[in-house]
Amino acid sequence: MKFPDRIFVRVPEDDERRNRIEDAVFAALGGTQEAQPPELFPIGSIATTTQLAAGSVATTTDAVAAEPPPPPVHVEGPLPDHIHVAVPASDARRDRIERDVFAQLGAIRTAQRTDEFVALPNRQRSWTPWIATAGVALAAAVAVVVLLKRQPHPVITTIPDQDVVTQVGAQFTYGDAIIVAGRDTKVHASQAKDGTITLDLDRGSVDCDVEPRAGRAPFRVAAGDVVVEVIGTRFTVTRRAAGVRVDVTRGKVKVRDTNGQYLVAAGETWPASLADTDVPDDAGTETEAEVEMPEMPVAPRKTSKRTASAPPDTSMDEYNEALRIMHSDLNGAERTFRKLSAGTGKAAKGALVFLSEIESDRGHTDAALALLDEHDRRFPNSSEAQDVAWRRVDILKKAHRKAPLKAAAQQYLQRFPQGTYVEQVTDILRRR
Amino acid sequence: MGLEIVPRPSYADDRELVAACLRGDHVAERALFRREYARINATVYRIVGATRETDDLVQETFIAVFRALPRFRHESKLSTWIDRIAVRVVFHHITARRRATVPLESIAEPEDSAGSLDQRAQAREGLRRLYGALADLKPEARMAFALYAIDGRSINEVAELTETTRITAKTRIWRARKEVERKAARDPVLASYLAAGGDRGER
Repeated sequence: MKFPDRIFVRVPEDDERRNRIEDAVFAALGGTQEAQPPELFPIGSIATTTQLAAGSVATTTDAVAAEPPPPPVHVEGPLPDHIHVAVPASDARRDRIERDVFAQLGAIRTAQRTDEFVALPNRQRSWTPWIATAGVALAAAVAVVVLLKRQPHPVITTIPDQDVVTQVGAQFTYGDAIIVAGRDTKVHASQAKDGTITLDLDRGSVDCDVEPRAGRAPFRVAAGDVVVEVIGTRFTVTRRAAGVRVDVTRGKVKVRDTNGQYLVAAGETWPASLADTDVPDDAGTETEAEVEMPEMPVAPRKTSKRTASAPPDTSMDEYNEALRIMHSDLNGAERTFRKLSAGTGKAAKGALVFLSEIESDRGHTDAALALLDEHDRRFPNSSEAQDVAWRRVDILKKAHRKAPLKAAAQQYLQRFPQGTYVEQVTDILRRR
Repeated sequence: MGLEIVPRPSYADDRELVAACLRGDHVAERALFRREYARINATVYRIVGATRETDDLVQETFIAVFRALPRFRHESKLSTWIDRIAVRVVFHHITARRRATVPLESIAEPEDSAGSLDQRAQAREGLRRLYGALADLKPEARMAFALYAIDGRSINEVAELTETTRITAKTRIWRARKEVERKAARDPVLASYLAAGGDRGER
């Protein structure tokens, strides 16, 4: 009898079986060690948390036809399958994160847009004249396209010791530096007798392209307590209610704040916790496209005739809109928050919290605290209570009011022992 | 610049929402943020616990999401892609922090004016010790364990989010689990917290 050279036998693919073997392998591995639970990854396990905790028997329900279930094994460890960790919910916290995300995105995008714009004025380069001419022509053509497309920043040259206040952004030069001020920016440029150039950033963002300082007068940007000293670079300083951020595109800068001095190099961000993080390679290696941020059109308000039914409540829409414009039109946002704070409901609660933040940023500590007190008085069972308690601690910390700070911190821990800000508050008390 | 009241549009699916965001539609960006916030916030919180960096990490995740959105090709669900970004952000944070970590035990307890070890305070202490135990784990094991045991993700999800194989994810969870159990065996507060299933019943 002849046999073929090769006999084909189909091997069944069975995920369940593979998983069971996999589990058994790990169970066996664990069996040689102390207190090893047999069902390491009990998919389909019917054991309850309480049973596991009590050390009772866990059985598997991964039933596979014609396969006997594995023998029950005692669980000695106290660990349940799933550990429930309550996540505190706070709309004000979410709103604050949302505001900060979009404020930072706005600053980053402004810097990206100005990257191209600032690249246009050519520095002295050793091009041959015809290449230079062609380059200039090309640059001019690109500039026209960019200008037409993007409502560019008006280009101005500053007069020393003057404020530059922008609504939509402006580009100016100061000595050898090319500076682009972002939207709603206030910056004061000055030059000391020793030649040191200082930009005092009151609010908004400035993107600076500065020649290396070796042999040149120092160039600094001061944003409150934070001083950025240029070594020769391209960088952006953003000052918002949430704090100061420095993004370095080229070269290095020295950043100094109340806690110390830091050297920030190209591609880095200060504070370091804000640095960019890699993202999954969902789309291969394409470069990131620039996203335009055009001004949104103002939709006409609808004027409806009054009817017997109550008018639609637009307070949350107004609140969200105020939140959105907070970094670009603080006064407008404040007006809306003031109006909303007189009302009731969620918008009023949030408005009080953000008004308090605005007052605190202005250094009006008492006014800020009074708004939080008003919040607690009017909304004693507010879901924002924890956030408000934390705001109180934060405001007092900023104002360096030691005794009330300690009391507020202790009160926070007492009311919210598992709160979101326990670590910060504990840290504050520890440092006192 | 005055207030702009715009009708809130709805987006039929991820493609429409992403396309609108890429057109620079602010309303779409806000809608995306609001839709994804709760899940991302919970995941970040459950991995790192109540630390001072939690807000920053959530914020960082969303900034990374919006900056990378032009590179999203719909090869996975948008929510999965965003989860992966969050996991990467947190993983980087944990890795960096581990280098200069401060043991939780070294932080002195605040003065407790009530002076009582009530149930909530005990739960808080249990939670603190759980995250103390997690902080001693290798970042990979910590991530996998937290995603599985605390955030309630499936093994497949853990494998996908941590960009590894299912078997590696299982191994990491198993190792972390053993380590946490080992600590709990010596720590009655942690053991009691875990036996109660964590914060269940609290808050």
